[in-house]
Amino acid sequence: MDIFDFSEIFSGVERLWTDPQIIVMIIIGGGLIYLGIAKGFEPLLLVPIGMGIVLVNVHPALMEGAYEGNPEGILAWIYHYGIKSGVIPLLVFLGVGAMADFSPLLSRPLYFILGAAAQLGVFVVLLVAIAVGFDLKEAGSIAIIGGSDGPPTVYITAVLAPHLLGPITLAAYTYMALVPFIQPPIIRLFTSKRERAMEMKTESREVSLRALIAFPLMASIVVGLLVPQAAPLIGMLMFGNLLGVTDVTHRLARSASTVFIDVLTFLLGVTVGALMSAEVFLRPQTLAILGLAALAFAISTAGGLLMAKFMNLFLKEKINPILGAAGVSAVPMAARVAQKVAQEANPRNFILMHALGPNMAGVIATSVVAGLFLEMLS
Amino acid sequence: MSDALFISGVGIGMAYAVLAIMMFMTMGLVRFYRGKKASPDANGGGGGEQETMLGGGRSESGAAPAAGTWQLAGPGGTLMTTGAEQQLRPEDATEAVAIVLALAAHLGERGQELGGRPILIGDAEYVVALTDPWSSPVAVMIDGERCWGSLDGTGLPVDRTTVSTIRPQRSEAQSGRQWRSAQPIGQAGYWDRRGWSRRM
Repeated sequence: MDIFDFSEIFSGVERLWTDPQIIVMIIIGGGLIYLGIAKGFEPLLLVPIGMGIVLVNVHPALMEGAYEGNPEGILAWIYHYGIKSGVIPLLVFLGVGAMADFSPLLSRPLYFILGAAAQLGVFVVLLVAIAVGFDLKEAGSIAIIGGSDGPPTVYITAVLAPHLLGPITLAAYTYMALVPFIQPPIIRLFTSKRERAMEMKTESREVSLRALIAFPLMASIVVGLLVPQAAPLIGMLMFGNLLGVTDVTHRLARSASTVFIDVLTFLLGVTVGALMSAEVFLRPQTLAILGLAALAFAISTAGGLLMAKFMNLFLKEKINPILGAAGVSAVPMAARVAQKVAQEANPRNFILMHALGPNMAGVIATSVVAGLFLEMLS
Repeated sequence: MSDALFISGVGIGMAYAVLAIMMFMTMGLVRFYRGKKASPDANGGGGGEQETMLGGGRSESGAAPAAGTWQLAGPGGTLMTTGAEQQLRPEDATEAVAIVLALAAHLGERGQELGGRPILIGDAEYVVALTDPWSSPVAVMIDGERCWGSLDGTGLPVDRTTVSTIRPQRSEAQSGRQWRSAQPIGQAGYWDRRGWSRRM
């Protein structure tokens, strides 16, 4: 009677013994789920990513054919048609645009410069990554983590270095979750208490509704013409924002910023997690990526701070240098950190609404830099 | 490495250039529309600036609240109406605005100000700021998210006379000319020959 082959039925258990790295990956996946649920670190992303890691290491068939372009497993399908094609990150950006409020940036467009300055880490780490041994495309994908924006990172990594998508995405979202721990020491290092305590006007300049409506159109056209490869990112971001600023499309904006982005987020998360099988993730390269990402993040923060101090040499109405740190585009975490650090130095200090300006400029700047990398590296 | 140096140098230069162009165009855009007066629209609205201020959240006194607004009974049986900007913001932010306005009104009656203090609602801490609560509509920033509130199209229900009588006393308390303050200034209690004043 040869009906059952027990070794086939329990092949998963057998794999645990033959490949103990799987146990390590399950622990890592469980750790991310723990961080998301118990510690509240980016739970909407770390929980799906953690679950994806567990699933793919327990049952690799879920990603069967993903890398060969012949998807068979369900997660392989989502990866192939959703992430590798760039569809999901772009649609996530549409949802981000629907939630974004550009009025702090429009009320003081000078903050665009802080957004640009906070990309310093991207360009410095590009060089460091090459020096460490990564090739140009891999280095570009790693360096973009310094912009602290998830969708552009996923978008260009899927094009330039798809084999590094798992560790790079994990590093990007982990560091974004760790903004409240990473940025304050850097801010204190580069600014004096007197500078941090600098008060700014709490009333922001009024921006008309017409300007808010015209801005996404203008940004799409200008960036689309100057950096065509950034057009998909900026276009989706601005399309979402246009839906959000007008009354007539509020139903679409509400959908884009709630259910739509939620569905995309867990598809993105679980699939990115599924890219982290033991043989891909447990390599010295992953540690190098995590280290370089931290460096990029720190340099970007410092770049923004130094630019804000430099601008103060010329500005009549001085700005609190902490605003420079908000130029990294982790929205709204970086702005909240700026507010918190400013208030530590001066309890009456309130710079949150100003910090959102460079924060939104950082989102645009990271998309522009991602487009530039795609132009120059692909 | 030379390729990387070239890409890095050109890239950072181009990033600055693109964002500088965006900056100047945005400045022009904002100025262009700042000068424009909007014609009266279906909302019965006024100028372009006011359009943004009011969004879709303003309701006429006595009228049913628009969808997406949140109401609570204010002092004197009036209704305090808050509306997220263009009624697009999540409901919890709108509720938080209502709580912030209620707190501002309560503190205002005691001669205090909300200031930039963080506010704890449930187990969530919000960083809030608001424009002059005595003139409507009041702009409220909740963790960077801007919403608007008003009380029947007017400011918050605080007796301005009460507030104005407290302020000189507070300044005198600091100088200590007529009486000394044994309480934090913000609480507006003071001591004189007749004993403790009532808390305002």
